[in-house]
Amino acid sequence: MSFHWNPFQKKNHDNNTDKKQVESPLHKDISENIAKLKLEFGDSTEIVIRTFHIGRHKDLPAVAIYMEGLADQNFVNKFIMESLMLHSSDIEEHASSKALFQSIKMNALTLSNVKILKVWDELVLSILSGSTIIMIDGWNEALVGETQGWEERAITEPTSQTVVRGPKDAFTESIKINVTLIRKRIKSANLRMETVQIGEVSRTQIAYMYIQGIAKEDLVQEVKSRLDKIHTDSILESGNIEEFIQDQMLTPFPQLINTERPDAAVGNLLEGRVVILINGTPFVLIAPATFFQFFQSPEDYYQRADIATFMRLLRFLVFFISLLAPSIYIALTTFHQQMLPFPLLINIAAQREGIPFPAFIEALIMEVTFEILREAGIRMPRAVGQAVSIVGAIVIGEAAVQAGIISPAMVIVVGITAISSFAIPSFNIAISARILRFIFMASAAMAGFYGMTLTAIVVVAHMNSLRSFGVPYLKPLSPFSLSEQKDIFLRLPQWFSQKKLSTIGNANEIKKPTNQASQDGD
Amino acid sequence: MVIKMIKKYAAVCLLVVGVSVLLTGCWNSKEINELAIVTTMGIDQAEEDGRFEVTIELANPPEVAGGSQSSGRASTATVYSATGDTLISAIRRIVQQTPREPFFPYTQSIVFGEELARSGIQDTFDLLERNQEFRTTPRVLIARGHTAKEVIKILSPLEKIPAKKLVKTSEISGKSLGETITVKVFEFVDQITSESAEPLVGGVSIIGDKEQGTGVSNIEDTEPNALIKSEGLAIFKDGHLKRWVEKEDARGMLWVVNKIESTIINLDCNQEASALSIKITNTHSSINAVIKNGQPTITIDVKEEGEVEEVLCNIDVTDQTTIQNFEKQLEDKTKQEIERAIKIAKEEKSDVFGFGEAINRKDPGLWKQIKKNYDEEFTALEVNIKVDAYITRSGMRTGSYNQE
Repeated sequence: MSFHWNPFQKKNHDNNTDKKQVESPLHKDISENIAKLKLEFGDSTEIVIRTFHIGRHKDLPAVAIYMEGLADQNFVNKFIMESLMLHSSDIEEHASSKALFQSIKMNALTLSNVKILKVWDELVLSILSGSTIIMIDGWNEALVGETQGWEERAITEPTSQTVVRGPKDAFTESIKINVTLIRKRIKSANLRMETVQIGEVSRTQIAYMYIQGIAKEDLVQEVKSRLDKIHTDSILESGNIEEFIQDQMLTPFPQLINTERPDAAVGNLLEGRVVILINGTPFVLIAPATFFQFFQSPEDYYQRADIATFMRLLRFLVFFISLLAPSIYIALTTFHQQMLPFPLLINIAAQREGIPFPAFIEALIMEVTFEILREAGIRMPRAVGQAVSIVGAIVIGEAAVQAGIISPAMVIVVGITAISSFAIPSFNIAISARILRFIFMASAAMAGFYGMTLTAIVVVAHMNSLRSFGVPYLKPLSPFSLSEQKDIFLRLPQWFSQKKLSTIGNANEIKKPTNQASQDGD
Repeated sequence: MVIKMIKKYAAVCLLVVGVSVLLTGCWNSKEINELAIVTTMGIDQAEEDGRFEVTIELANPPEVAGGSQSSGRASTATVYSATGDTLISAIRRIVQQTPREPFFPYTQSIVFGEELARSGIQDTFDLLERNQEFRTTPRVLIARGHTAKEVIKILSPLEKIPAKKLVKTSEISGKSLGETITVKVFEFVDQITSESAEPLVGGVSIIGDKEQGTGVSNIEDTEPNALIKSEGLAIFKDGHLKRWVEKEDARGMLWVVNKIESTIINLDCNQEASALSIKITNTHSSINAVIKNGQPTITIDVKEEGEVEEVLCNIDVTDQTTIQNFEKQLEDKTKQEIERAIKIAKEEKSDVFGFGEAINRKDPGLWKQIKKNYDEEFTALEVNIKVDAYITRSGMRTGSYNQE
């Protein structure tokens, strides 16, 4: 795998610098520890420090520490406090503190997930993650019980990537639930998950998943090393990660896919890709991504092949409309009038009679107006959102035409362009088309179809230079691979594809599905 | 260091490319509403000031398109004309009168005045083929008995796009009547430059008062003052119009050149003349040369298929022998038409059928010998005509009203 030199990627920071304070150990004296903790958290009110005594004679000081809100209080009461305070009477009194500590872990705590911590820094992190810390006087280790229990948003339907036919669950903000949603679908021990923590302040939990044997080894390594190189204060959303690990910064094209659909994530895992989950966002990243993937919807694989193929071809058409429609109109009406059918020419000429602007300015005004409306529509509070659409419809549709500033044909062109950009399944490739549209419009205004062709050559050359985790962006069209055409412009039936995507995954690991109909019939 | 150099180099490149693209600007761009769309061009013999008088008809888009832009009062087209020694010099003179530069790709038809056609039009096609703004697909029409300018000026009802009034009239009449054809410029040029064929061109004339036909009022009345009529077929010889042929004679010519799409032929029935109409639905003809002892003869094979369309006499159309009689009569009638057409062509020494081409295809050596005095050869050429007619259907009625 070869990677492009990227001057915009952050230089790899020395990982050793931030490990200085990690090594500070716990104190044997429990009151010392409590004091230090209070100092560290600055007397934060939501930290709960409960001191109590355990043992047969209730004379051994112990402390349980947890964060209110992050830990489930009922859980702490029932499985930590109750078991330690009521059922710890059989603990040997005069045993050494170490033996006592072991005895508590083995006999007293009715929790399934209990760890032992020795290092101060990890202790703080555990508290902040919602665990409960148990320390006893006279021993410099702490028991950590998993008691996380904050409020979670329930699993809901996807809001930005909906389908007609297909699963209706979407990822949530919790990485745990998200991992579960994926695990639920692949009951294989080969599904691997590794976690890293990124963000010096936020310490966001990041996980990347892949299927051992299907995903290529060096891809997994590359994802790991790129994640390790990230050096930042906080990660709040998958977009933060995407910016750090994408191959090329100066491009309008996205090089990673994001999805909020577990089925899409699973489908990509099965094709040998790596899925990166970020705690705190329902959007997961999928690497590597090629251009044609942005035109695939999970629904393609749930609908019959002919329907899916039709829809996919439609999406490519829609992409080109949203990219080129205004520029084609400009080129036709200002340079290549002889290409229009005669009645249409007469019609457009009649409409343009008295329009004060050249076609390019006219198109620019309308496109910018539409972009403003679209942005306003997103930002506006829902209650006044209605007003935007009314004003938009009146401004664009009626008033501009009535006033003779804009020709009706231009309204149609901008309208079809706008609608088209919403028909593309991936929102971020639609934005690429939106940006490039203006460049195409300018080149059409300067040199007609000739200028558009030049721009198209530059854009395609640029796309050819892009890589996503070492995979050529236009793969499998360039470099061409006949065997992988089955799922690009067409979606051939499942049983037709012998090998799936050898570009990304290890092809021989994937079994060939068979067509039952053809087996029975012949 | 290297990166710095690369950056510098990239910046210079960007500047050069950017400036060279941006400074060229939009040198060739022309907004669609700045065009004067030429729909028809007429060419007449100039009475003074040069050789040609060129008339162009410019579409008035808002009036043609209708809707809110239309005033409803202005004409859908405006006609300009000017004279010059060459076509292009005349066209450039027209610009003196128009606010916009004429735009020629949409020229639908080229109309020649009869006077000019008689004195020769072979030279006028140089501009049409040389200039990149002209297409080679406009239809060629001859203004019969008028100047091209007079014909172009007539406004017609129904067809709002002014140029189409001429082309459509001619085309529709050719399609349903089979007595005229519309040739495109490139076909006409092919034939006029060929030694072994001559062109046939459809004619258009004006019926009614041509002075009254130029205003919007002409399309306001139920019976317009003046109308365009497709009429006759012009026979050319060496670029000169020689003669007009009409009706059955014109149809006879078109039978031979395989240009009949549909037509109506009246047959005699029970001693009543022209009492039964046959609609021809399907025809095919081919011309073959046969060389016998160094003497070429021509065989024309015509196949026609028709249906009984109207019956005014007392017959039974379901009777097979009756139908066979009509088929025979149809063959005879077609054959007569063709014979008369060939006689006319021979009189004018104009090989409009492409017999010479057929001989050339069959025996190029022989053609080289005879082409020098082909006019005499053509006049003396023996032509065999074979017609097969079939009447396949009798419409939605079997008997006639007169049947007892």
